[in-house]
Amino acid sequence: MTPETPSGRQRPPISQEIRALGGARVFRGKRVLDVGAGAGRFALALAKVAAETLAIEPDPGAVAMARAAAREAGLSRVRFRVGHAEELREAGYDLALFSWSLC
Amino acid sequence: MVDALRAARRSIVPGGLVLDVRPSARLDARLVARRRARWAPAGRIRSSANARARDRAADAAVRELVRDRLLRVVRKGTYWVLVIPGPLASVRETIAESGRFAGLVVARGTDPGARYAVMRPIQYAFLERVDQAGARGAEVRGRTARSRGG
Repeated sequence: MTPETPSGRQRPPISQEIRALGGARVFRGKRVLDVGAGAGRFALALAKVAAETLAIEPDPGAVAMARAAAREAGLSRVRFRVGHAEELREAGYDLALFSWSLC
Repeated sequence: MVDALRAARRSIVPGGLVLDVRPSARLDARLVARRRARWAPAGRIRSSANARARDRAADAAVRELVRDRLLRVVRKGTYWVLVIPGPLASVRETIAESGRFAGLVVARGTDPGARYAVMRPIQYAFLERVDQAGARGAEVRGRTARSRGG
């Protein structure tokens, strides 16, 4: 799947979490909304398997880091936006992900 | 949290999924030590009151949408992840700095020179968007209540 992103010592490698959730097949070909995406740990990992990923995150610094990581990895099917879940106006996504963000 | 979940639900197609993944504060994390090529129990780490309160609030938000028949649980569970590997002093330091942990209880007889790590419980739920007349009514009621300051 993807490059692992720096995630702090309290979080495991993203590949480990994706496996625990059922593997890449859960996300393959899907339009994914990543809510509270942080620095893009999950969104960057999904960028090679999901059809499209929109990641929203209120912290502009985290979004800047995520965008830089996506550019560096040459990932084109993921977009990052500064914002809150409550401001969402998009529709038509297959899966909305709250990864360590609904707490 | 409820508003974030409602907004996310509106953004997915009927039958689409909301996936909620987060550390569980209901189960204590475990301190483990590397012994004979295996991780063995070496203590436990209590969740902070703040972490437990936030988890209860998140659980309540999910329950509200399930109760209103806007979402239904299709799969849920818990998995454990190994984090913060290092010497005991380093693990202690990270735990002390974390707002989610309240304290570390190290079992007797542990080897301070060993390699340690923390096993954290992560809970997840796949929630399917439900669309039916009753559910739509519930959503309208929710919006009305919020617009009244509810």
